[in-house]
Amino acid sequence: MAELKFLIVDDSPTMRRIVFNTLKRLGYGEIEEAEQGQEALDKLKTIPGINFVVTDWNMPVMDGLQLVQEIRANSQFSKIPILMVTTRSVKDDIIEAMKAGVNNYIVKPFTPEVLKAKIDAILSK
Amino acid sequence: MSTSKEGVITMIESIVEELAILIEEIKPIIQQTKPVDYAQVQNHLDNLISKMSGLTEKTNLTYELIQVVINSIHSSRSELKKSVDGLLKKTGVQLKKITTTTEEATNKILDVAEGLDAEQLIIIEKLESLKNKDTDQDATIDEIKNMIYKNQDAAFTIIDYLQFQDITAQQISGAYALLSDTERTLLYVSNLLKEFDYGDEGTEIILPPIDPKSFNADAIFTDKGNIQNLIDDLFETGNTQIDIPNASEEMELRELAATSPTSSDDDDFDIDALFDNNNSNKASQDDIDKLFS
Repeated sequence: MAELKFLIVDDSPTMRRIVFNTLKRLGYGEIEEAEQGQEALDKLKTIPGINFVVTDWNMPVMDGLQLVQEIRANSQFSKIPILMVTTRSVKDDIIEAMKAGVNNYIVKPFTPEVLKAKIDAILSK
Repeated sequence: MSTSKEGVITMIESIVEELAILIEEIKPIIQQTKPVDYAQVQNHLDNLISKMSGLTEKTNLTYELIQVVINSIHSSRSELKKSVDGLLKKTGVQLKKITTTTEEATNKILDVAEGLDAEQLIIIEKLESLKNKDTDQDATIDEIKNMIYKNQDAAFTIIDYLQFQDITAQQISGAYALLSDTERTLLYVSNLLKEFDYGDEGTEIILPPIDPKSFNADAIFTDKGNIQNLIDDLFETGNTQIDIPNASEEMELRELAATSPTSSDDDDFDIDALFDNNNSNKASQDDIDKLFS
């Protein structure tokens, strides 16, 4: 895979900043941000090279689950790896996200080690 | 309301009067008609007049009761209005302020932590430039660099913990949404009662609605180590039968573990029950250590 270019999708500016910082700390340099699913889709269409999405679930307008479904339904982006980082830890939610097409799932609060492990796990497949 | 009450009483009084006139007018006919018992008919008619007259008093009593109910409805609606205007609005605004304030504070802490990180990187670079192949001095520089790296880790740990802000903001959004729902319910009840109230003041929705998709009211700030491990198993194996306890249950279990007496030989604390794991997905020792750490 070419150099990773991340898209962080979260309506919380604090969380976007924390994920941004963590990714930088892990050595990833190219990072874009979006506040919710619709903006994320727009950025995927307009910013070339985004090849990894880290998304929250609970967001206004278009939530993370809808975003995953939209990405998987779009032939242009359907193969992009998606990591969901969310507070939702109920089993049914996790299975719903898995069926929608997320590649891995992290429950907040997370540690940099867990984030790195999940990115590596996704990339190794 | 009082006009209607007077109208009913006037109507009853008018009926009674009409009946009295009617009785007088039909008296001669009744007297001529045999074998009708004039006295019995007269008795029935007198009873009717007496009962109709009693209606006036009953209507007055009923009116008094209705008035009490109406006053009570008015007072309840006023209280509802006060609750919605005062308590709910104030609480809603306060909740929003908490989120805004913690977000601002968190961002300031992030500014400081990021600033520290940037400065530490500069210091490390400068220290590196001081190395001159003098073994002792270079060793000291490496030692100082290691100390700085440790400080950097500490700064990053602070950043990691700032995730609490997003989680508490979601909990606060949950409380706000509950207030907003309560407001709607109260206003619905108030509007149902509006027809029966002499006051014409209306109450409108004050708290702006919140998108239910935008928060998870059950968000909990706690180490999800065990849950994350089970999620990892789920994604690795695709086995949807894996039992994943929800975070609040997990937290309750931790609290239970924290308040339980320290373990002894005869301690009957059931680790399997704690993890709800009677299948092959037994919690590892790491999980147990994390749970009790």
